[in-house]
Amino acid sequence: MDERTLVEQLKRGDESAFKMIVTTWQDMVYNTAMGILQSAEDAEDVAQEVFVQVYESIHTFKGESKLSTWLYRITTSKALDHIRRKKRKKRFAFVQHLFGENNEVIVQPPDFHHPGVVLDNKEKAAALFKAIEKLPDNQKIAFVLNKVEGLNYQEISEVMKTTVSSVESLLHRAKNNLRKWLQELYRSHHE
Amino acid sequence: MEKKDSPDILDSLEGLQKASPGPFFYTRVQARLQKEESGIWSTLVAYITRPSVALATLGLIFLLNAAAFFYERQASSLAADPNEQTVNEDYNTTLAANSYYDENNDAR
Repeated sequence: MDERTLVEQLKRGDESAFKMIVTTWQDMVYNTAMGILQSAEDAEDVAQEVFVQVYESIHTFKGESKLSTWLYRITTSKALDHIRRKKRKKRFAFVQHLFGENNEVIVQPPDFHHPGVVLDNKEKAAALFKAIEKLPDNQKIAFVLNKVEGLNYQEISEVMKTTVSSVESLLHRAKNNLRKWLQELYRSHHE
Repeated sequence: MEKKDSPDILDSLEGLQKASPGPFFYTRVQARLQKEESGIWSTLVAYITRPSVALATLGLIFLLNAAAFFYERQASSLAADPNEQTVNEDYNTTLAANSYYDENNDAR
């Protein structure tokens, strides 16, 4: 069944079309969310949110882009929202902790290990993910779509609604930042 | 980790396998959808019945009532203003109205 038919069927409220959309694109959505959020639990939460949003706002999908492009857009924006919400909660918990209202110990999350990383690269990938976390939003999205999802520059530019040259520039800056932070990390390990 | 490893680290995601959600993901999405649909009304009720919202609404109603009361009072005191009577007398409006009837009476 082609994309357009699926979308038309879902617009008419067909449950089986929705099931087909979820099963076809669940890995793509989940993997993207996982790359940005670096947590299996958060990725599951955001992936569910994405498909709920798809079900509720399919009538706004005009078919001008591919369904996967639209799904990537929803996923990246929901994942960034999730990070912002988490940061707000963390700040609030920290303030509560300062005033002695919350006696829970604030723990730093352990290193993130993506389940799909080749075993030999496990440690390096964990260090890379730690650095990716610090990237500005746009650079992070471009880098994750390129390295975690394997999208080319053209596809990334469609997801991010920008030009190919902007994507090139975003990725160039992202790599420079990552190199700088990884070298700092290396230095701090050897001092 | 060596310094020369830095570009190497950037390539450490080469050959990455895509992560998948656990089994029965669609069932969990359906459950979430149902929860969200039934959740709209319960969220609204929970919001309205929150003490802060309820107290703020009561306060607003009280303020509107007080404002209406003072406005009415001010309006009625203006209506009974003795200056208005003086103005009427100065311009002789009451007299003019009476004289109209008087003229009619005279005509009879």
